[in-house]
Amino acid sequence: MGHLAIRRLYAGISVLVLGFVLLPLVVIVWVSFFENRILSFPPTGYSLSWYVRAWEQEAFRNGFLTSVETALCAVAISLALGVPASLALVRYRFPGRDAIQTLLLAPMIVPGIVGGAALFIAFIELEVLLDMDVSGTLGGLLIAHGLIALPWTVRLVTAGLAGANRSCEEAAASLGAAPLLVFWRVTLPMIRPAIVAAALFSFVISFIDLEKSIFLVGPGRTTLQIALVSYLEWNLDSTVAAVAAVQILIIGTLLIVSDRYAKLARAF
Amino acid sequence: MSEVVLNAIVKRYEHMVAVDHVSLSIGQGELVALLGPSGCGKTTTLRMVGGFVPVTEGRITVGGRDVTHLPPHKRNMGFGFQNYALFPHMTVAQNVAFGLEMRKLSKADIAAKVRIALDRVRLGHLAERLPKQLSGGQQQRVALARALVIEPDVLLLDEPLSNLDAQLRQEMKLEIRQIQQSLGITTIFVTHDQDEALSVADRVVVMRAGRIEQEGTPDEVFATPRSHFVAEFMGVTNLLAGRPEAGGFRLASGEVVPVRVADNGGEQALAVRPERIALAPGEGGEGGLAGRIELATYRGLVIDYQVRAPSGLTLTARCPSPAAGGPRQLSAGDMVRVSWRPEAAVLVPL
Repeated sequence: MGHLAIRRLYAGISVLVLGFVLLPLVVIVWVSFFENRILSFPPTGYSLSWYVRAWEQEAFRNGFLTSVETALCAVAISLALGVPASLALVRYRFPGRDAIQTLLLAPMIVPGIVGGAALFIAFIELEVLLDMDVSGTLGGLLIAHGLIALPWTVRLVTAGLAGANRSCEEAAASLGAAPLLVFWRVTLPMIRPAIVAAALFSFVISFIDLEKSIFLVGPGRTTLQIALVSYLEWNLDSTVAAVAAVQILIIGTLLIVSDRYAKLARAF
Repeated sequence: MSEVVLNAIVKRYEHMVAVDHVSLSIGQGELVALLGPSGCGKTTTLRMVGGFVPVTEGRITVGGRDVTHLPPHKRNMGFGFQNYALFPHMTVAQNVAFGLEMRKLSKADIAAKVRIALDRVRLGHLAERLPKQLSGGQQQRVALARALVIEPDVLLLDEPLSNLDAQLRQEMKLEIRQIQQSLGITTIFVTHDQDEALSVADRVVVMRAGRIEQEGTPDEVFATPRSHFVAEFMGVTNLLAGRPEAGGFRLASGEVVPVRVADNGGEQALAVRPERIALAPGEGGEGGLAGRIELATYRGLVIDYQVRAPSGLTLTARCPSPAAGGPRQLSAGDMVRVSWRPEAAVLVPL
């Protein structure tokens, strides 16, 4: 095969893979505009009524708010833990460093459903031990979401720190800046893009989580993803597609913005 | 007064000693170059003075004040880094202002001092640029201005020229020396380049394997190396093993050559700079050693000849080329007589 043929084959396969990834998203967005009362092909016409209906569903509205709140808290938790942890991992050599790094990245590898079940069981045990509610509480949910966002923060911020010039910090110290000032005036600004990307990515990761949340939500505190699943149990219309289309828009925007700050590809 | 005194400082890591009882005192306004190959401990020594590397043993004082265990931000020392270490998110002016802000000067004072500092390195017109918009030489000058604007007691420079190209290096070398002298600031300058050390320093300290091998004025170190290592580092390519005897120095290869000081005996090396060796074409003639040219390398103003004596002894001679007013070029295979004046040779321990 010639050079050109190989390149054409490569391009062809790339397009196929990309299409395979994008097709479901395109179909969902398309379906969300169908007029059909029951989800079916072909469309009898187009309308925006499913978007209106989705907005009218209290479960979706509340779910959306819960999801946003949860995601914001997940961002806060993952940054509060992940940034100092990354600093320690990149800047210092200490016993158990590799183990801690692996531990911090582990939630990324453990399947969500396994992690969710494990947390659920752990919370139940804790409830028995402490004689207080843990498993259905907001706190429990937030811990879980902080946990799934944490590896992404650690990964992005360690990559950012590795790229930041250590001697800038020493220069700041020699110019009279105490360690905290060095961090605030020099280190933090140098890794700001990585932190912004980590925050956006943490938000997305928490927002789209279903597997862990399903074990941990309490009554009256359903996330959007869980609301969607419950709705699907009894209904088969385009409301879900409308909600999904809105989510695709939000998440897509966040990912494009975060990519401007730190190339996600560079974190791996 | 900012006399810097290192008193038997040691840096010990788990498996190695990086700096081994280095004692050194640097007078007010003096520029001392720490010179040596990589891994000799020169940078570690400098970083201990700057406070970036903890001292295992020994004491460092500045103007009589013990700074051994002081963190870097309390030492009032200016540090110049090999990679300049400018803050990438701040403009040139903000970089220079940083140290003054840390000293809580008024805005007006800061602005005035920044202007003076930038004018001193001729960069006043670039004050609002970001570091990445500057060339390497400009960045190094900003770094210098930033380190000096705080009026430090000591200026520490870690290979400040090694990332610059040859032309700029020459300019910056002069500029650093000029500024250092006009401010009269006590300076330690770390380099692996002997030429750099010789041309900027008041005193050169040659380090090897964590210890001071020799120290002295540039001329002392260059002209009278006291060890095989220093001689080699200073570009003495002819180091001939042998032992002194009555009337000369007997080389291991058998020849006896004249030396000025017949030293205390024992195995030593005779060090002769290639520039001090004279070649006379032809087989006859008195004095010196007979040899045959093995290799002639033309280098512009000089030509390097590798000459081999019948005994197997090999020497390098560096002679002026015709372009520099020297005699015509000899070629490989030519027979020559090799000689040098006795005072051109120095004996060093093996």
